[in-house]
Amino acid sequence: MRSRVRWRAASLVCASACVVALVACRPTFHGVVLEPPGPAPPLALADSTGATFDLAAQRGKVVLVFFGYTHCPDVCPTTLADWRKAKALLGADARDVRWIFVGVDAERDTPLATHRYAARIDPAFTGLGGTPAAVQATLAQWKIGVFRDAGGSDAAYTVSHPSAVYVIDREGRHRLLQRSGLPPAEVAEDIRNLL
Amino acid sequence: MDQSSRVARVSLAAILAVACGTAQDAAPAGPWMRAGEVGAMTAAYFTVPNAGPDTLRLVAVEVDAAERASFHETRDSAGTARMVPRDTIAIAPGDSAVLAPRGLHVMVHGLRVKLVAGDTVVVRVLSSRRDTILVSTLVHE
Repeated sequence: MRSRVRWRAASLVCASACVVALVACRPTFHGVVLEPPGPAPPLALADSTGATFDLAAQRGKVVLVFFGYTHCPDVCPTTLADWRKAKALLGADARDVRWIFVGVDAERDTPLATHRYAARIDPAFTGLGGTPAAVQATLAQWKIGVFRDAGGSDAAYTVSHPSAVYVIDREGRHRLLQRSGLPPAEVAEDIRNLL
Repeated sequence: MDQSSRVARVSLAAILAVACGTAQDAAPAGPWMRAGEVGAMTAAYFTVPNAGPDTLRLVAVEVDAAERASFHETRDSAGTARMVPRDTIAIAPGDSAVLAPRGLHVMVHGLRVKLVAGDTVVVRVLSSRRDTILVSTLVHE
């Protein structure tokens, strides 16, 4: 009887130790962790060559997606500049990362203009765009709302858009939301934890 | 642009600042502007202190290298970034207006020239005291 109690106590200690070890080994993230992670919606928009981007073909890479617009003077270039710093911090590991800037303002964000906007900050960044219908379909799949702000002229209006970055893991699952302004070192650390 | 012409443009801005009587109690700090292509929108950032005894209001802004400029503020509400125009920026005595990424900024509409890192651009800020604060901004990527 006594040996059975001892055996149970020992088992309990071992099980507790395993749980503690598993929790301790789980990476901590600076971005908001989505639990459980779900499959990322498609991103069937055109790149600068006119080819349709295939998010499913990026398995094995970590993919960062930011929804902005090419006439965005502040948040979008700031986010892309932070990506460039994060990419530099990743060094050689950045080869397993895709950086995607989606132009949500279909009237002005042609695929080529969107790609130029992103690639001007870093040639490794990819810009995607599409027809109003294609962009709307993508935004609906991602459950994202964007709208043209009141005021401004037809040529100089601004657009409200998501400020966070969507992070897709190597299995194609939406794992993190990185808030606007997350320091590049923390962006890089989150990516490294997913590689 | 070679270094000598860059220095010359910065010096010119400094001379203009003196010539136009820029208020010394509102000399801007850390001015910079993000690079951009011709026709693009971009933004300029700097800090304006108010060392005077009264509230200082920034009421208008012009940028030589662009068709138009205006004060704006980026607001992040429930994960959505929204651009809000600001007619004026009020600075209390002893306080500063910090124009910085993801916050208050000078929105620069329609660049007349391509701006690359290392260029300098003059920004003119009109204050409620009817003086013009000249800001020589250095272009960054």
